[in-house]
Amino acid sequence: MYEETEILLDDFPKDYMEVNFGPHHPSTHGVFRFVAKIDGERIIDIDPVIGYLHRGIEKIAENRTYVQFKPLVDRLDYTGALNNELCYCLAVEKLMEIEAPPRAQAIRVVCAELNRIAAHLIFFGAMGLETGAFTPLLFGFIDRETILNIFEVMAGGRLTFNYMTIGGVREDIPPTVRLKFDKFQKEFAVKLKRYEELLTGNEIFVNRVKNVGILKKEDLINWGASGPTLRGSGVRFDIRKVEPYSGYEKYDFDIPVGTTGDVYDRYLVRMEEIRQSMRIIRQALDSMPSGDIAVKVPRVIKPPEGELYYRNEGTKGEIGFYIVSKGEKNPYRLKIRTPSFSHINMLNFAAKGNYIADAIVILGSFDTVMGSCDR
Amino acid sequence: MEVTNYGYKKTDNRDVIAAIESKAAGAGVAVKFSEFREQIFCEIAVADIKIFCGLLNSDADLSFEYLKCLTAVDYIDYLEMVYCLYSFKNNWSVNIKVKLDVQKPVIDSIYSIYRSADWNEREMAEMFGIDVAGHPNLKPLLLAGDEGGYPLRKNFEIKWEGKEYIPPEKFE
Repeated sequence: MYEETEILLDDFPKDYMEVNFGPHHPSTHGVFRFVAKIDGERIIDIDPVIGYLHRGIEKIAENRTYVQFKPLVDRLDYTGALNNELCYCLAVEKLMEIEAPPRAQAIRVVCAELNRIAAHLIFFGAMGLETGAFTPLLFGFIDRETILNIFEVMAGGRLTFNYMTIGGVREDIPPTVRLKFDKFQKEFAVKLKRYEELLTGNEIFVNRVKNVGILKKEDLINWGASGPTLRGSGVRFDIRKVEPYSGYEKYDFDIPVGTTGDVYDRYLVRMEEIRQSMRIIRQALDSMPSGDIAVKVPRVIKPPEGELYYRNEGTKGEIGFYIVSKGEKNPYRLKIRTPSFSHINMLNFAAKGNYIADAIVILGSFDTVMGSCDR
Repeated sequence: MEVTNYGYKKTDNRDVIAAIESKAAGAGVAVKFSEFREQIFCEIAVADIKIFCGLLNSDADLSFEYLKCLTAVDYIDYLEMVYCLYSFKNNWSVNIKVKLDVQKPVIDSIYSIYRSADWNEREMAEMFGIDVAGHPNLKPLLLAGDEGGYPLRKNFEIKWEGKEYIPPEKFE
């Protein structure tokens, strides 16, 4: 039986005020509302209201073929669209027992890690915004723009790509990608240092986030947290290492973890992950094997009867697909497990007892995207 | 170049099944094991879910502390709840399946064991009409409440406003 870490609320008087927050607020990254019970500046209870972006994607999946459903996967977590695609394609490939060729796997890794950097740069900007600094947002978006330009060369899209196919990738990467990435890497190494000066070493920022929203790892595990949120509390767990997929076992990279589990640690973990992602892309581009970019799959994909749960390390945590196949053209049931859903579920527990302004910083430190929460 | 995986190792599925089987027999839970694509599926009775999850979570050797995914499937004749658990300590994964009566689906909540089941169970309650007994707050989560049925059930009729519905078998 799980017992929550006790939060002392005895000092609070019985009369409290209810405050509505949202649905439109820059820190909610989408349309999200919560009703907070407050006593003065302290939060007694939060009741999150979600569903504003609910599009019924799981029901749509049952009425679409496997290939037709793929573009919708991009629209779950639109800041890390290629990570979602990768997980979906791998899940269907695992059902069909096929494996993408080595070149396709390396291209996929490059895509997924580039997208991870882009997503973490949004986090960097948003984190600054939530703590009252506007400049990081602009800087973050400038570099994200460079990455999106690389994606444009590769996939033709900037936000939702439909780039990966079941069995490989849609198109081979042009040689310019490597040149563009070389240039980006050279410039970004200098820029990242400047960014760190802007927030990481900034006394105002550090005082604002340090020792705020401390979460213990036992609690996080029980609440289903994953990704940088879980790693920020000191759990050295990364699905890229634990259950390597798409050739991640070949690359040398570290998993950064936090020590105290506060907002600052979750921020630092993400900033370090940007550096590690750069390392992975460098290795993947340097050791890019030649060969096919996709295996031949039937025109109409019909995986054999069976069911499985497949998970990946997304930009914000564990993305998972539970697919039930009846051997037909369309999935019988498709459940999407998203990190944002678990993290917003945890919000009441994490923010209880904190100040209102801190609750927003804590929500920001989970880096949730409502498109992936509501599905 | 040395690649570290921080000591995570893969255990043979037979060892995992043997470990769970011996513990479940001690608690008097009948488990039917099956495997598909290297994943383990345990089928248990509805009444055992809370005991079985509690056992897997609290047992020091198994320590399945993490609820990865919770979902339900409508097989028309019956409903099925699926719990995907993960053990950080051993790097083991297991999927628990429970069959529910389609007319009156009732299952015990595992909220007291896994807090992450909170919203997942609420979602299953509104999408499939499953009555999760013992859940502290079972109000609708994602929907507005005017759907006139349970959307993820197979008998739910999709309203296609003004557009012709093309069944999937006609897609090429």
